[in-house]
Amino acid sequence: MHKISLALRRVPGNIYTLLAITLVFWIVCKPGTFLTGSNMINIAGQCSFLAIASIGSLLAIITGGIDLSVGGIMCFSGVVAAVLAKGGMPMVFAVPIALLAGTAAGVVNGLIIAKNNVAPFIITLAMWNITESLALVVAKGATVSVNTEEFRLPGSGELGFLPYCVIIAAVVYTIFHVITRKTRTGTYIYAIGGNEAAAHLTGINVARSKFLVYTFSGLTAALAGVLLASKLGSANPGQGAGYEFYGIASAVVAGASMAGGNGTVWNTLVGALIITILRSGLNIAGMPNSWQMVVLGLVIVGVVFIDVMSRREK
Amino acid sequence: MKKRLAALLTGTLLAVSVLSGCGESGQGGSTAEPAPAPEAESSAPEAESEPAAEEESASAEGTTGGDYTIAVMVKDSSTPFWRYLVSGAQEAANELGVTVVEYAPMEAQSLDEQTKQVEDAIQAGVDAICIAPVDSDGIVPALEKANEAGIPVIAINTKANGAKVETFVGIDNEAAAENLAQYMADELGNEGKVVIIEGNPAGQTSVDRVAGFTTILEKYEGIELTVSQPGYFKRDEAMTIMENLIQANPDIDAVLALNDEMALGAWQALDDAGMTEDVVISGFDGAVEGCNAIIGGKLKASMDQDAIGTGYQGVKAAVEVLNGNAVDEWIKIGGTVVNGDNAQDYLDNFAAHGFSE
Repeated sequence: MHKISLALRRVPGNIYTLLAITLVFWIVCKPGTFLTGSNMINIAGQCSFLAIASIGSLLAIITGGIDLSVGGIMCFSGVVAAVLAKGGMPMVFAVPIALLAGTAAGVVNGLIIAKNNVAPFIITLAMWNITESLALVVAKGATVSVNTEEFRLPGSGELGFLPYCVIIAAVVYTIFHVITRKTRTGTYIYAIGGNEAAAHLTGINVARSKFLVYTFSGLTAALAGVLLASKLGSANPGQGAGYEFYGIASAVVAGASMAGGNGTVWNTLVGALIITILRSGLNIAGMPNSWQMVVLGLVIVGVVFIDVMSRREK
Repeated sequence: MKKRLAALLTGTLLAVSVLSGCGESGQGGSTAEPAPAPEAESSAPEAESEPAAEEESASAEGTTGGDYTIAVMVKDSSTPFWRYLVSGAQEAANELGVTVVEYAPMEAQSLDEQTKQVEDAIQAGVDAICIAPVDSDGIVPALEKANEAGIPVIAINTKANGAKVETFVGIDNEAAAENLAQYMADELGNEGKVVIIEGNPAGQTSVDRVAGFTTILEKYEGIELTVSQPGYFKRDEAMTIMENLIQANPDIDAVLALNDEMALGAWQALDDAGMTEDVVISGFDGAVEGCNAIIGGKLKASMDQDAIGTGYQGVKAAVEVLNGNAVDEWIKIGGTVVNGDNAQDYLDNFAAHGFSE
């Protein structure tokens, strides 16, 4: 009995929220529409882009910072991939170049934030504008449509019944779980978020860790952006808008504190799932769009509230 | 731990009760109201508060359309044009006894969101999809998924450049622009200096309208034609463009803007320069503000795009397809010049649908 309660305590708290929301939609939606195998795969597929992008948001939040450039970098790297692929470049070259382009934006974020100690809010906000404008320039202001099978494979192809993007998301999550939990870099990132001055005094290279965080964030955003463009078979300047906020919401719903120092990768996956299931479930239930934002906002507030209350309890 | 569970349980119960009310309004909302809904947005919360009354009238009315659920997908949720369109769709749903579920991306014009909405509508098992694609090329993969699921697709307002689409319901922009240009040329006595305020040069709508205008106006030797910089269908941009044009061409006789918003922006610039007496202006949309501007003498004419009719005909075509009937490849909508003679009629029609501003 004691063991069971201990094991239960180790389950991330927001799993219960996820189950509760799933239960609500199961009851509310027309029978045989929500809890079906095909819809679970639909939701997993929709979630994978946000889930990957959320990792960057989470890492920045753990250090006590924020990354607002996620959506812009997604947009930029997606457009780069689409333009290169449309020009006839094979995907094995186009994808790495697009990922490099997005990561480069993260590197710039990281360099400025780490070296000069400027508020991440300002730098990443500026980078958001820069990457969105660059996307406009690269795309020449219009949608770049690449409706070839090769380009669409990573975002919309399937291995058996599992979409590739879900598999990619799973791999990315495993990698970042190892980085945050099993490596020294991971420990440093949490230490900086907990108390930056103390971390510095214990000899942690704060600048290097922060640089890595924003570089990783650029990389995950770029990956999400390329996958999204691949799924849609096109990229347009403005695509990816909003992901920076949903990414932050995923991390915070997952129990990460904006003050830094906590939040885990797996919890963030659950957070991204909660947000995706809400959006998708409300669509399937047929709720008018004008009310969806209200519900989404209330749930986020509710989940964070429950989380704060239960922590105070402990 | 207990507190957390209790809170979750209460939340779950609350959500179920609220959402099930909403589900009913989605199912019954359209069949329940015989009169046109005053506003598509407000029908949902109203329906929530009186679920009992709703069920009664829903069962009393019966169905003529075979109990279909039709998804109506528009480009954004705040622009009046899309409100008109959804209201027309609701009207058809009421008449035909089918249910309309509206989808609009929260981030206006977001292809990503619209794609997800198509996916979700497929999962929800809708019978047909009426969609105004935010991107004619980009929406194709999503529509192909609907094709695979055997759900008929009807394009409304904007074409889709691929996938299997049953019909397109929308205005013939080029023919309509020719119509309007002819009216304006007659007004000018076939001579004068005319400026076209361009919309978005990359968009098909813009290209077609400019082509229609120029085809007609270039026929007249007395007409000197200038096409402006793009105003992207925005009032403030058109105003700036007009201010600059006035500097170079103080002797303009007519302005043909690609929508009412830009026409009113041009009017503002001309009014500031004290030139409205000498210049006739036309817009394109024929919505409430445009009609009022025609009656108020700011604009000479506009073009009826019939957003309400687009939604109405879209849902009607969907029901036809579901009943196995043939539909035309292109169901043409609007195309009538709106001027001082008929602007009030259009306003009355908008008011009858609950749109007075």
